[in-house]
Amino acid sequence: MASLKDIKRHISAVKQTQKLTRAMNMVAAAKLRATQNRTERFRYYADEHARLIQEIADRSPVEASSLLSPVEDSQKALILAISSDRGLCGSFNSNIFSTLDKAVVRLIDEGLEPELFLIGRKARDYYLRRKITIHKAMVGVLGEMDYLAAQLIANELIESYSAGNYKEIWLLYTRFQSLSRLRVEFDRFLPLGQEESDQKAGPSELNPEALDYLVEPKAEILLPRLIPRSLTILIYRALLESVTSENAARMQAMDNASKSCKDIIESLTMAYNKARQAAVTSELLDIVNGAEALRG
Amino acid sequence: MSAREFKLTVVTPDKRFLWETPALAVGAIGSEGAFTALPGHVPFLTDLKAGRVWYRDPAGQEDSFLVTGGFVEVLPEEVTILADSAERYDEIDAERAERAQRRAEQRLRDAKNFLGARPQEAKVQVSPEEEERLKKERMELVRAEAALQRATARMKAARERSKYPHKKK
Repeated sequence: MASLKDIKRHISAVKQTQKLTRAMNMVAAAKLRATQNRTERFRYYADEHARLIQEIADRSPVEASSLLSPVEDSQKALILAISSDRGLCGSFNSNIFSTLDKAVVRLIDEGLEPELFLIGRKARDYYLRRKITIHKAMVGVLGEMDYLAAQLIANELIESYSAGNYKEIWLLYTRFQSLSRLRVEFDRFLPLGQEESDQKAGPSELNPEALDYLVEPKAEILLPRLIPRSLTILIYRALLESVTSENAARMQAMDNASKSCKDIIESLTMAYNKARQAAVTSELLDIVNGAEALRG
Repeated sequence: MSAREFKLTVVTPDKRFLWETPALAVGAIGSEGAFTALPGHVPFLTDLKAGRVWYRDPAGQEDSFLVTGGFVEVLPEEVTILADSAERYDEIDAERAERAQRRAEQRLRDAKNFLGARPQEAKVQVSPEEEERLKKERMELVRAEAALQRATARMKAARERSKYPHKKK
């Protein structure tokens, strides 16, 4: 049995840890409040944008923008995955990795060569040790990501897609639904428009309504203005959702850690009291035995 | 089937300005000129200039607000405006807009001076730092222009505030 002193030391160590986890919990909660608000207000705008470009993609002739048609001569697919820069956020990152691992396997099965575009230190560290091409890894940007950062990323993706480097570009991020519901989303980013599973029909057959849609100025002018913007908004939204989810996950994880600390402290205190009681009893026994012997 | 009312939605990156508000008519300034849309309009898509957007509610009352650019989608029974920002007329701060305008003009001048001082010979030999700097200044130019347009639109809106009906909040 551990000595009284050992147990006491252990208790104070766990108490220190508890202080730490509590503080981290509060920091995460404060950050969460700030980003959650922003994310939720941005959602309506992003949703409308997403709906609008989907509609345009479905209704416009494929020739209207190079971003609507699949690039046939490339076999590569790019996955943009957003993880976190810091750890201690529960299963936040491992959920992303397991989805990403599966997605990579699926794309390989489809005969594509997947490459990764990683945001966040955790994803880079994980995939550096694996046999997969990392197209690019951005580390330490999540703390100060803003619309401009999203714009730079979107432009880069659009450029390399337009240059015919990739056949498909996918987006992987964690969506914040509520504190206890974080869902990993895996969406196709480019090309826009119907999923592959839809039957392939000529543009004229596909959109009987295409001609009814009045676009001003001409689609060739307006779509290049609208589409990159909508794509930027998609990226920005993914970043916002991801950061919000990360903070929610960290808050939960730290809450659980604080609870575990409390449990450990309780059981250690119990052990400490028992040990103390045993020591007192044995000391008393010694004294009584000594006295008995003297009287003897 | 012709609808008699629109549902008007105006969203910006940081708020739902209007959400499925019933409207009898909606007007705005597109990049090809001002337009008015009535319910039953053919599907229509355009981008917006900074300026006034108005609508008439079912009671026949008009309301105006200011957007600083964006896109509008008109469908027979709904109108969706994706605005960069939207403000009520009575919320516009004319003084702030004026300050912003002066600031934007100054930035614009600075950026132009910088770029103007570097004529074509810069193309011959540009160090990476120089290249970076030029890129930054060009971005700055675009941003300052956008800021100037916004400020000018706000000031115009503030001047015309009394001319157009708008609801007090």
